[in-house]
Amino acid sequence: MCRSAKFWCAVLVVAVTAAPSWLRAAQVKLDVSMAQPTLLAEKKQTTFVKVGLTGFKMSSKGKRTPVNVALVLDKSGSMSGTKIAKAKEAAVWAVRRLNREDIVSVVVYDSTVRVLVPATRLNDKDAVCRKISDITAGGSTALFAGVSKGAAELRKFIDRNRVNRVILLSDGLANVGPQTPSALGELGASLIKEGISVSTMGLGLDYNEDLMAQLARRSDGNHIFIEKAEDLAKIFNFEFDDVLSVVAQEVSITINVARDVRPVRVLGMDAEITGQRVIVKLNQLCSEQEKYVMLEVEVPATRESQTREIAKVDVSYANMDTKTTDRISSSISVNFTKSEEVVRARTDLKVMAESVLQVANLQNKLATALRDKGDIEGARRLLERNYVYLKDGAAKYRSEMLRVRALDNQNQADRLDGRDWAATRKEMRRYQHLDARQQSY
Amino acid sequence: MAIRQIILLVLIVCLPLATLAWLGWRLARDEQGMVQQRLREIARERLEDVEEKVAAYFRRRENELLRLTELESHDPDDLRRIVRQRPDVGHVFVLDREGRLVHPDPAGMLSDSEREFLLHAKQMFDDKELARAAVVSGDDDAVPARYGWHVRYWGPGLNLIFYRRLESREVVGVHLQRARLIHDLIAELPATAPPVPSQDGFVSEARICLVNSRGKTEYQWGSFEPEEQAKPLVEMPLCEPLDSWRLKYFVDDQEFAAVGRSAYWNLLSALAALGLGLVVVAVYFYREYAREVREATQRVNFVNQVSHELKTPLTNIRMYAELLESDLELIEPDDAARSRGHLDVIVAESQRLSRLIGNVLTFARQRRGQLSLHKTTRRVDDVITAVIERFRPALRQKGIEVAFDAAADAVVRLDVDALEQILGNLISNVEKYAAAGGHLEITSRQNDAQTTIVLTDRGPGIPTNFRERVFQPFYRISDRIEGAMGTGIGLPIARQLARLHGGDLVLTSSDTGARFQIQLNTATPESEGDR
Repeated sequence: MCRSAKFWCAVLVVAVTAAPSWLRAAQVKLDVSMAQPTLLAEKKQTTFVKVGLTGFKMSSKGKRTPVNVALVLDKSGSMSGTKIAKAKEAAVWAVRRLNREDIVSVVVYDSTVRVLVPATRLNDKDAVCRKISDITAGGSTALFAGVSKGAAELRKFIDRNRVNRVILLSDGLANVGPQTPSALGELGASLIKEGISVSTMGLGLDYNEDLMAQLARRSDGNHIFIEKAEDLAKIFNFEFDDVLSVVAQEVSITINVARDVRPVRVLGMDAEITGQRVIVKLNQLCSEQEKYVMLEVEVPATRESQTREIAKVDVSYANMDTKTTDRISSSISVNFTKSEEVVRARTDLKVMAESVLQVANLQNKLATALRDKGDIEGARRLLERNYVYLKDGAAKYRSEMLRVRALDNQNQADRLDGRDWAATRKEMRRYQHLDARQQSY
Repeated sequence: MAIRQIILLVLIVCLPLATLAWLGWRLARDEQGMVQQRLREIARERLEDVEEKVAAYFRRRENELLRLTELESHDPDDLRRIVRQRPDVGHVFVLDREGRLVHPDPAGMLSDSEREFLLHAKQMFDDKELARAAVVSGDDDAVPARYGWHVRYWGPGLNLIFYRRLESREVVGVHLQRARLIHDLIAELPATAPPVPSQDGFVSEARICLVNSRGKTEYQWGSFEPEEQAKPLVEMPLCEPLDSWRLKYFVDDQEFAAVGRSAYWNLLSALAALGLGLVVVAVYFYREYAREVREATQRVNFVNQVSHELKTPLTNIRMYAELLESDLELIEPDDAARSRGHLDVIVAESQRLSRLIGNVLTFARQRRGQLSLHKTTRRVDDVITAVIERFRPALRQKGIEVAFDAAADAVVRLDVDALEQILGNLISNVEKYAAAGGHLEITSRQNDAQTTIVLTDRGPGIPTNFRERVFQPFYRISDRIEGAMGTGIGLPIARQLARLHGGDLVLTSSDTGARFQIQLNTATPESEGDR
């Protein structure tokens, strides 16, 4: 009798302690860490703080956040032929992945904008797919207007409990209306304040990658370079994977850096740094995926025995599962040692590798700028140095990611000339974007 | 003659047509102008609708921004939160009562974006433009405007700043993010609609462009694609604060020019119908005229033909009459008296017939312009005497005495037939109309080149007002006068012949009866030479 009672008591205890973790609603995991948790004493130095956020899994299987998506398709003259055919196929395919809970609108543009399918609940998929199939190409490229009308369609059903996204496909240079990267970037920055992200897909070798990348970067959307129209369906698939796995939106990260520590810069993302306060906004987090903010700080010389608080981090976000606004906080400190050995031993390899990735990303951007000015040699040298830097990092911090990226940089260094440059540049932008934001594809 | 008629008919057709064409063309052109003007007005109305949308948008923004600038505190964190949260706001700033910048504090901690904004807007702050703009110019003790829009140009172009003067006389300003402003306008304005069939005669497709202060298109809609350098049909500036921007309305120029062309087609078909009608009428009249001319010609030809035919038997009659006369001279005068009398009648009648035929032929020839003289040398008096002799039996029968005062015995150049015909017609008239007078006096006079013959009778005479009319063909004063035989062409022919002979035949006044004066140009053989 006693043994069975003990057994059941144990079961009960386990159940009681374990149960809450099942029943407890999922939350975003906040993980603040230092690249070097222990720093060298008596030395003013810069180091990295990583604020990592990981999306949770939705509580019930098969449940996902409903979607409010606007497809903005370029149908200018340059798209005619295979490109528009494949684009239509991919769009139709993507629409078929959505369901009645989702809202879809389709906007096409050439010299002017046409709202092909106004924002509507997806009750009749076939009707939407038919309209998409009827698109024919011809005209110039009013990209800004296309994105604007797409966002306007989104606004009809905009909801913080939906994923609100514009997906833009273009193969060309915007030549009607605002057409500079900064103008499109500004538009992106204003859209993210409403919770709208724009993912930009550049098709072929003739589009303006700066414009597309800026628009995506500042609205926290994805950016991808698609060389062949045949890959469109696959890419649309990835994008929709991304869209359909959003678990948190309107992510606001506030880092209050301690008084004596100086925030230098945030690598790879837009941040508002005012005095000791750093504010970063992300538009969404996907299920089981991590995004991070890499903050470079300058730490004053500190005595060995001291522990220094580096920063307090407050995060708020809209939880798509519970439909509430969650807040989480954390803080981070460092301690000091006179021993370099100890510093090395305590280095967080993963965070260090990620910081290397971000620094190399900045260098890669610099290389693009040099090549733009016509300094092929300078760009090549920079990329070669980047390769070495990444390779060393890959070895030191045991990172496959850095090794791959090192090879990418070396590859790019070889393809800076003439005809290769158009494709290389688009590729560079695509990876710069991917690494800075931890894009999922 | 036919050519003159044809020209007349052509004029009858063409002149009214030409007048109507000119008037109608002016009318059609006016109508086309009106239709095009109407279309321009429609286009203008459409642009005004667009402008109204933009004006309504700015009114809404003003209200929103007024609410936004009802700031409780000017705490920098609160202000920065506003910027962070509102998609349309680029920057917020606050000026104190003296117009100095309080937020963002130039001496304090600034984000990169704030630093950049202060750089662009530096001049505006230094010159205290907003503080001054808030005052209505021209008034001394003016109450400064409470709020308004301020336009500045930097970067890609126009930037809008909304400012508001608070009760405390501080100024709160909101800089609207430029890309977002354009985005908002695009969201307000229409997209290109699916094509609709053209209504109320309007051109089928159009394009409306929103153009910035530099002339570049910021946004456009409509399915028509204008040429590179096309000019808009209508354009107008936008309302404030975007009054440096314009709306332009484009249509297909060719389609526009073709509008209202139906008026010209209507005109053309009306003219064509009228022209056809006139041509039909003209052709009808021409054919009628031609027919009558043909018939008249046929009649004349017939008469000529008949006359020619008559001449031959007539000649035979005269010949055999004269033979018979010679035969009779061989017979005893007493026995031959009655036969001679009969013969005289035959001869007189055949002479008359001859004369008649001669008149007709002469008349016909004269109408055809084929009359001509055949001159020989003769004495005028001889001819007159011969003619009198021929008429003597007939005149005697009518009881008319003939007295001839001959004084023209020079040998001259003379068309004998013509003179005979003239005299014959005149004497025959006397025989027909003046027999009651019983007397005919003939005088002949001659000077150098002219011969004058006067015939005076004692008949009823010819009234003055008929003196010229008797010389008109086919004119006979009255059928009452006995012996209403006669063709009415005798006198006209006589006059024609006299005139042809260089002279004239006139009717002069006389106490007794009718007095005809013949004048002929009879130059002597020596002075003329051979003609």
